Amino acid sequence: MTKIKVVDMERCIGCELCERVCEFINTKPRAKIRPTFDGVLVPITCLHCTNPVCVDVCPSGAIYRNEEGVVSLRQNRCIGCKLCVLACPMGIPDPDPIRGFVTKCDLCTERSKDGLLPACVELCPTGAIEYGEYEEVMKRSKSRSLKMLRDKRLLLKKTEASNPV
Amino acid sequence: MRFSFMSGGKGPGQKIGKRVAVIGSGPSGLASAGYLASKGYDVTVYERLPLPGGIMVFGIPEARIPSERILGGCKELEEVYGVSFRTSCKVSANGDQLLGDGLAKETVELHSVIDENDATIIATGTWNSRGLPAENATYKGIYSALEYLFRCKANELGLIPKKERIKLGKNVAVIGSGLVAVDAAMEAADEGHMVRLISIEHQFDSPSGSYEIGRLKKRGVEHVERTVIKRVLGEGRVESVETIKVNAEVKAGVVLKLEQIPGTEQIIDKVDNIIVGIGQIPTPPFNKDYKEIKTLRWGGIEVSDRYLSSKEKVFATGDITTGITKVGRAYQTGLKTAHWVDRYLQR
Repeated sequence: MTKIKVVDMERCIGCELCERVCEFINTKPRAKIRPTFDGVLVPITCLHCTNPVCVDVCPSGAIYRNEEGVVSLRQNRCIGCKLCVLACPMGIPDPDPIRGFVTKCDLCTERSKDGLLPACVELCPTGAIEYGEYEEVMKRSKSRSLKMLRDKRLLLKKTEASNPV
Repeated sequence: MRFSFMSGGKGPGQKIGKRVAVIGSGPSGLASAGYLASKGYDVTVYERLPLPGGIMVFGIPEARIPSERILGGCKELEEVYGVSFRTSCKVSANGDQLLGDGLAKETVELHSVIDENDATIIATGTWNSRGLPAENATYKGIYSALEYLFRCKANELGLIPKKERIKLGKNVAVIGSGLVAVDAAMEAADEGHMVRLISIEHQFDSPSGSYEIGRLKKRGVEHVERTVIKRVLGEGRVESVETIKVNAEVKAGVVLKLEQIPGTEQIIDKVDNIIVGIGQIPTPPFNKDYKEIKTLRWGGIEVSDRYLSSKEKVFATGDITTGITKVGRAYQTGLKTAHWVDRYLQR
């Protein structure tokens, strides 16, 4: 019953909608679009690791991973030590100095109680954010990459046929 | 896309019995419509084109945003949440003639829309393109990038016949390095033209990001950087262009300082068409003589921090208040406006 969220970079266009909608709901965006060194705009957000370091390192037990695989945070337990920020390989948790705790993506836990998808998944205009059961998402992404491979091979054959060496 | 994502999955909810009109169905208009429909308002969306979606459907190529996802979201709004879409219906108070107005079948007066509804949200966006700042910019063969993309996309969607697509010559020069110019250059390169991208910015400080320019270069597009067009040459029609190198200071895609270097003029021969994508101008649904709603100097509508314009009951949102932005920012202003409209009507 683990659920995962993946971003298909082939389809992501960097329109910032996920970031802006997250900002509207949570007042501070928990997914951020940043350019890489090559200039590709990439949404950077919590990856919900299988063995999360932030959970191991948290001294007050505020961060936990539930049975669905969502790594989320109990704000009333957080002491604002920012150890999770240092431990996270991506530096995801966002410290809030005024309120004294850390915020991070929890895949819209309140929405999933009503049986809804996370807001960014529902609103992505290109459908680049995949969310669902682990096997289902893996199956979909594998079939898509196979299709891409086939298309590329067909294109290669076509160009070879049109200009023979 | 589910524009009604704030409803909590409980359907349209109880009807409040108040009417809201949304003029324009781009990202910000649809965001407001979805938010208010899920709160139980009767929402009417006016759209001058035959399909809702605005720039997301008619400006951005299919390879970036698949239009069926947007149209599916609109269909859900219409069927489940009872939003009525009045497509091919232009709302105007002697407004300017815009791109694609030939597809509109009826015209509604702006003041009748404002009188009929408890609140009106203007989300008409930026549909006019900035002209080429060079000599002889009125010659034939110069098109705006938005017009080119619009005609391609409308033809692909089966709304205009193929002869109304813009036919380009063999050599095309695209001016600008924003996302609109990059999309137009990509579209032209896909059609098999020889494309030159002429821009002030380098590849690494262009507003669209260096990745997009790199993709164009791989596609066979020549990028002429730190260059502006000084003069268009020809006899009533573009034949060649005279360019000049510039010294520029660019930060985060915004040109801060621009200086032409004398003596670096160069003539690029054999340019059949010029596509200009150097920015867009807001298009409110009224002309300059309309005094009831205040506009700013750059053409946008002046709004308070609650997105209320200078006329009562009239709100404005999206690119018309902020200038051209990305889809996400426009969507967020739409949501914020809808939040304030909700507060305004529940007083």
